Amino acid sequence: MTFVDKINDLQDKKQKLELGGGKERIATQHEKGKLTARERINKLFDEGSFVEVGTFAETSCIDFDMQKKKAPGDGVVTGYGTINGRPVFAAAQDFTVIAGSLGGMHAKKIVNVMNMAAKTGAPFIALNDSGGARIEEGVEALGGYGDIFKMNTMLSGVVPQITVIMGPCAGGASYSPALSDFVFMVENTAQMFITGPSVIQAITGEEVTMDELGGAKIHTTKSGNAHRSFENEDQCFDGIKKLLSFLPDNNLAGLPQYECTDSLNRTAEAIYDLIPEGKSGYDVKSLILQIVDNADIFEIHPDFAQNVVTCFARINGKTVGIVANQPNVKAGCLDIDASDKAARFVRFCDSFNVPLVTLTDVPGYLPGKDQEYDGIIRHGAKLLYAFSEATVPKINVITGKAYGGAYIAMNSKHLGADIVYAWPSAEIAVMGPDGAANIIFRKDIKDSSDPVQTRKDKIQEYTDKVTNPYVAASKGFVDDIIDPAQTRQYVAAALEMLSSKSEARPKKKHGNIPL
Amino acid sequence: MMKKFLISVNGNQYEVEVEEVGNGQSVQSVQPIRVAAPAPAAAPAAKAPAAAPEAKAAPAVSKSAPAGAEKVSAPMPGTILKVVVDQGSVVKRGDVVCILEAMKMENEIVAPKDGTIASVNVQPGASVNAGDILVSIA
Repeated sequence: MTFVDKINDLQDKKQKLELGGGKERIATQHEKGKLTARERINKLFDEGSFVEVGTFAETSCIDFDMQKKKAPGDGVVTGYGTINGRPVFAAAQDFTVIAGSLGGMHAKKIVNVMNMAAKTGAPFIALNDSGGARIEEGVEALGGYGDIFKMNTMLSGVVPQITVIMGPCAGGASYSPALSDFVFMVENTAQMFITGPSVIQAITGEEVTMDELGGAKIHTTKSGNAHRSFENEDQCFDGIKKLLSFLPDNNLAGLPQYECTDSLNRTAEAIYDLIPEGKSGYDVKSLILQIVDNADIFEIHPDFAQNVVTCFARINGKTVGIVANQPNVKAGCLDIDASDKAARFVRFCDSFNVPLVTLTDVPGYLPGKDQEYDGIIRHGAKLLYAFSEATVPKINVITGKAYGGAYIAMNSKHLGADIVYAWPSAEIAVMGPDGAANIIFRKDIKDSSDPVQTRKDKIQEYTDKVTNPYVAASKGFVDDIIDPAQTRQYVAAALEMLSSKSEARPKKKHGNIPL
Repeated sequence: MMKKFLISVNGNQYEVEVEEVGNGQSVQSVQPIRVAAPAPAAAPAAKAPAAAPEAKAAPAVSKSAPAGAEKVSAPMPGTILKVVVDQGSVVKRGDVVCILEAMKMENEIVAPKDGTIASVNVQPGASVNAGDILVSIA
C-alpha cells in the first residue's frame, strides 16, 4: 500500500468502526427509544470537541470462539471533550456491540480514561447501557469490573463522577454507579438491579417486572440509588450539563463563578406570606427559591426522602449546597432515609469545597419501632458526623422548629457551623412544650386542684419562657436573630466573609463514619 | 399513650384500652376476655365511659379499604385532628383529606390521586401509627 492508500484505509476502518454493531443493531436501538453510544456523546459534548481514544482496542479472548464475534472498540466509546467549554472525560457503552457487554479490554478502556480524568483533574461521566459481563471472557470480565470499582473509589473526592443509566445495568455492574457521586436514570429504558427478575423468580418464586424491580421510579423514590430521573435521553443530557455547571472541575479547583444578576440586597417580603400562622406546614422549596440567585436550583434526590431537601444553587454567582427540612412531608422530621440523603450530600459538598447553607425547621427524629429497628441511631449519626467533619463555610438559618437531637444535627453551632441565624418565630428547645411541661411541672400538675388547667398554663409558661430563639441567642448558640425578609442578605454577607475560611483537622488516615 | 385496664362488671372481666387526651377520656376498644352471653355484654358496654356509644354513632368508619382502592396511610404516628372528607367525596390529587397532629405540627394528609373516597378509616381523636390506613381512594 502506498502512503496515501494507508490513509484512505484508515478512514475506511474508522467509518466502519463508528457504526458499532452495524446499521441493523443501530435501528433496533432506535426502535427502543435509545440512542447509540456515539449519538449520546455527540449530544452531551460541545460540538466537535470530543476526541476518542481506544477506538481500535480489541478483545484478546479466544475462548468459546470469541474471535469470531466482531466487537468494534470492544463495545465502549471512550475519550474526552468539553461540556459548556469545560473539560470532561466520558465512557459510553455501545449496546449495539455484543449488547455492550463488558470484557477485559472494554474495562481497560474505561479505566484508562478514568485515570486520565484523575491526572488532569476533570469530571468523569459514565453512560451505562450494557447487558453485563461478557460471559465468554469469564473471570477477565469480573476483573474488569473490579478495576473499574477501584478507580471509582480512587477518583471519589478528587473529580466529580456522574453515572448515567441509559439501558440495562445488571448485577455487579450496578456497583460502579453506586460508587460514583451522582446517578441519573432515563425513564422506561433504564433498569438497574443486582439480581434480575428471572433469577428472583427461580430462587424465591416472586414475580416482578424489570421496571418494577429496578426502573427509574423505584430507584428515585424507594431505594435512593438514583439521584434524578428524566423522561428521555435529551432531557437527561440537559440535566447533566446543568449539574456540571454548579460543580468545580476537581477538588483543588475553585468553584465556577458566574456574574450575579440578582441583587444581593434584594429583600424578600414574599417570605412573610409563605410561612403560615399556626402549626400547618409549607413548602420549603418556595423559601429556597426566594433566597438563592434567580430562583435557580438543581435538586438532588427530589423524590427520595422528601422530608429533607438537598439542592445546588448559587448565591452571589457562586455554588452553594442547600440542606433544608421540608415541613410539608412527615412534618420535616429527620429519619433514616433523610439522614442518609443529607449526609451524603453534605460530604460531597465538603469534598468539593461547596459551602453549606441549611434551613432548619425540624420537630425531631421520626419516632417509631420501624425506625428504631432499622437503625435510626446509626443512620442519624451520619448527619452529625458529616456536618462536624465538614470544613467548608457552614451557615445555618433556623426558620422554625429546632428540637432535641435534630436541632443539633441540622448544622448547629455545636457541630461547627460558622454562622447561625434564627428567625424571631424560631423554636429552639430540647423538647416540645407539651412533653416538657409534663416532666418539669409534674409535681405542680399533680398537686393542683385543676390538673388540666394547670397543665395548660404550664405549657404556655414553658412556651413563653423557653421555646424562643432568644434563649439560644443569649448563650451564643445563635449569632443573630434576623428579619426573615433579609435572609438572603445575611446569608450572602456570611458567604462572602467565609470565602477565605480555612480550618484544620487533626491528622488521621480517615475517620470512621457510622455506616 | 394507651393504658390498659381490666374492668370487672357483674362478674365479667373486660379489657379496656384508654387514651388520655386532656379533656376527658375516650375508650378506644372494649374487648370481653371471657365470652359472656350477648345481653350481659351489651349492658357493661352501655355503662362504659361516655365516649363508647359516641364511637358507635360516628359516621361510617370502616376497618379496611375496599379491594382495588388506593390506601392513604399515616406517614407517622399521631392523632387525627380533623377528617374533611366523607365516603363518596370526590377529591383531586393534592386535596386535603384529613389533618394529622404529629411532631408538634398539624400535618395535611393529601389525596395522592384524583378519585372518590372509597372508605374513611379514622375519626377525629383517633390515635394512629405509621402505616395505618386513613382513607382509601377509588
